[in-house]
Amino acid sequence: MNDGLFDTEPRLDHSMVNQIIQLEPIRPGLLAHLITVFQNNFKDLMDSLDSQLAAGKHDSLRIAFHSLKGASASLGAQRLSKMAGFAESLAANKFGDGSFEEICAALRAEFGHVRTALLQAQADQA
Amino acid sequence: MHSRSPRPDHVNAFVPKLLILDDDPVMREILAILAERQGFEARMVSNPDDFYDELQAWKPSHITIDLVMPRKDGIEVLRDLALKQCAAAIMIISGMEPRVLQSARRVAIERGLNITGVLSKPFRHEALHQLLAESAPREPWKNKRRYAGGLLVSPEVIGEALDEDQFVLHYQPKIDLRTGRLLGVEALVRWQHPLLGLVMPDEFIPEIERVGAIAKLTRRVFERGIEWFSEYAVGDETTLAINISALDLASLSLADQLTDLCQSRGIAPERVIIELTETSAMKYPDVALATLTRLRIKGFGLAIDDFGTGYSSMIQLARMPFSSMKIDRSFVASMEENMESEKIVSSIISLGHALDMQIVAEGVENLRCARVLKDLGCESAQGYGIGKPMAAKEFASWRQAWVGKAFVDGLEHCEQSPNVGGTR
Repeated sequence: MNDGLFDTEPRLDHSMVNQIIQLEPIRPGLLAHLITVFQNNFKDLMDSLDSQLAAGKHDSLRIAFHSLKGASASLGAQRLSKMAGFAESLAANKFGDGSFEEICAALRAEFGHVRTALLQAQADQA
Repeated sequence: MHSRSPRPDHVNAFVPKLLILDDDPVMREILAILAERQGFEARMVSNPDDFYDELQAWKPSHITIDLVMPRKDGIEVLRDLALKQCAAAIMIISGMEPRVLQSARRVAIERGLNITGVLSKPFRHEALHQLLAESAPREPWKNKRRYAGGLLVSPEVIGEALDEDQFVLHYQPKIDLRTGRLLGVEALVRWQHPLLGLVMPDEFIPEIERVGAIAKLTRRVFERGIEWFSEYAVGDETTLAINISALDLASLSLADQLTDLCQSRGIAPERVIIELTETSAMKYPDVALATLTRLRIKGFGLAIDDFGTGYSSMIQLARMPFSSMKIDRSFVASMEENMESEKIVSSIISLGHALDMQIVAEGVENLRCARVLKDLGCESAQGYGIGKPMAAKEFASWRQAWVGKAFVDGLEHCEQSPNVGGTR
């Protein structure tokens, strides 16, 4: 996968994060909670990828990447969302070009950056 | 399943209940919090099995459904909800492209579900706030499928209803978009049921067709409609439109019967427009062609109703002797929010004109919509923004109060759609 393919997308859309921060008065700790939910969900997805691929469950993979696309976008992680969308389309085509490992590695790396950015936003809020 | 209650229960206080079906845990949490902020009680489920359990036990007033989920997708869930005659306000919220969302919405509406909106992910929180504020559950008695529960419609029941004059006509005006002048009225049948109250035709016509009594009802509607029209429309040039069923077309003598009825009341057949849906016309195209041609020969106008919702081919459409085409309300009503609908309406108008048909837009709900239609070249319109279907007495009052010039002036002052005219 071309690493620069998604560079034009902003890593974090702060307006989306701010929407969530605005809900903190009615649900204190919301952003921290959502980051944890997001992180656990991402980990579950990544942990299941190899076994799903081995079992030929491409449709399950497609749906999982679709879900990641939506969750990322909800938290403002635009670049990760685009990458998940790309993975979704690859899964729909059964990773015909052998790009599975590459996209998974890219997703993991981007998730690390997003997590850092989100935690920073949380710290700034505090 | 996760549940949170935003406030203590109050005696007699209605707390709307939102059930969220989404496989994305982040989205579930966000939806729940936003709904709770708006006074909803919210529950979240991640899969259809839990969803059906909650639906049964908790009876939500509102539902949000994702489309892409493992094992069972949103369309399958919507189908199940239709089978369960769900009356909740349903919102489809998905990351699929808007065209897919709109298709899902149409599928659900066609199945009788109460779809109150669609939302693309990710969304601005304000958009969900507005959607929730505007979404209301359908009262169970308004559920279109209530008859499936067991109201027995037999030929005897229909005969009794006809004898007791339980079928009544309401009249909806159709106006000229260029002058505001009243062009005609459409007679719409309702069943004034002794137990259920006023029942809409889409709820009982299929039942009447099923028991083979549609010809009797059609004749009664014509008798009552022509009788009213002969008294109301003296000295003007308005027309009367009446709907018929696909099954009526099987009778080749329909044209003779209707001609006799018109003659008996001194009404020229040219002032009567017979409407039938696109689906009806194409159901038995050969039989329909013969009957429709006879009706045209006798002088009746023929309108193809709800155009755009059926599957007629261009060849079939061109073969049929229709004189006018009515654009289905689903396209007209969604023009403001859906650019594709406006393009479809524009194409239908062009097609109708190419086939020398008059065009009537249904479902016109406001001046802005009427202005767009006028700019697209549509000649005439009907809808709640002009006048809803009314009982005869109410219609007379409407007619007296209607000022065509004021309507046209209103159109002139209405902002032009950015999508029509010079920018197209």
